[in-house]
Amino acid sequence: MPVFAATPPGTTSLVVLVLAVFGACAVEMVEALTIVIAVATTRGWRVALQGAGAALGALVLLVAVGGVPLVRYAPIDVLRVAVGALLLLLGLGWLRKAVLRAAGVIPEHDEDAVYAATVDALSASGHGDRRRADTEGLGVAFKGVFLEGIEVVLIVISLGASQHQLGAASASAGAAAVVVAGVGALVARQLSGVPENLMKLVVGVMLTSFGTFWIGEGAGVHWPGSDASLPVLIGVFAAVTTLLVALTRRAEPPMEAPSAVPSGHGGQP
Amino acid sequence: MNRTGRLARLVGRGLWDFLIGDTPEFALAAGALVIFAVLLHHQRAAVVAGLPALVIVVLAAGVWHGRRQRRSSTATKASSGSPLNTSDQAQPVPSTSERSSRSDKKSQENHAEATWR
Repeated sequence: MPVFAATPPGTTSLVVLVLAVFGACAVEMVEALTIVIAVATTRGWRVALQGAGAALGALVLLVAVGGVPLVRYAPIDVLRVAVGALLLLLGLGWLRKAVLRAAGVIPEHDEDAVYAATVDALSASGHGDRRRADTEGLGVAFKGVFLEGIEVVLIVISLGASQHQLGAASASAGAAAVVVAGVGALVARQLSGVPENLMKLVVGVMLTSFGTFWIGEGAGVHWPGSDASLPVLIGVFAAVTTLLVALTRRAEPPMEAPSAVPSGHGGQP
Repeated sequence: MNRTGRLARLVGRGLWDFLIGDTPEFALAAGALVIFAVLLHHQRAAVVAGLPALVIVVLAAGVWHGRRQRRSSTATKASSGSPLNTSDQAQPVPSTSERSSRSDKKSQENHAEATWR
């Protein structure tokens, strides 16, 4: 039984948890907002908000159903190893994609293009039959928010459960959703100016650091300085990521700038 | 399939995409890192130094693999739509607007592929 497993999480890990969840949720909600605004433009705000609201409700339900039993009943060591592996998986995935985008190997996520494609897809179908059009808009808004939100749910449950801070993690995710929705309502358009890739890079570094930390803790290894080693891990992974971006960018020929908008896709971001 | 079944399938598919997706090597690596930490947990220094180092190796390998994948897919597209050919028949040189159109189409395809991943 690791020594640290019985002790409550420190302020450092709580702060990193709140920042990681907020960042992850903000990135995903910016992407979801694009779909919701595209639905609102073509099918009306009522349908878009109904779809988004239903998806948010389903996500909250998933956190309650998946997170609370984990916090109450799962053995802490097993939970931390499993959570560590999960966070590592998510973090490495985010980092890989963000590094490739930052280095210009793959194009960055373009909210304007996603918006245009969703509007095109919705405009091309559902003419004439109002009810069918509404159902389709509802489905696209639901799917957009729900699919983007699943990853946030995983992060909230895993980070919250491993530190017994499900409430703080949920509140942080909720705050990010409110901030993004508020800004989206104010400007009434997709947030294409948000530096999504940079945010993804930062959150990826945090998730990877948490994953590494919890795998060690769950396996019974006491990190030097307990959770004070988290900022060290974050610093190391951030430095490595910066180096990887520079090396990949140097090895990669400059990519052609996207000149047109993709079409023919539904609401899959 | 009823609505609950469809929702369960949607969740399952979303989870698979997020967790495994096009990087199954990360799932294997995460499992291997857990085994490494559990087996060596009595040798604290080895895990404290080795675990982050292995994570860095996995990340670097993932980026390298992603870059290679991208290059090979670009090369495949280029060869399938290339004006160069091995036949003896002379091919007309594409005009500037044709080249520009091909380039636009290619960048559009690249863009669509990455945007929707």
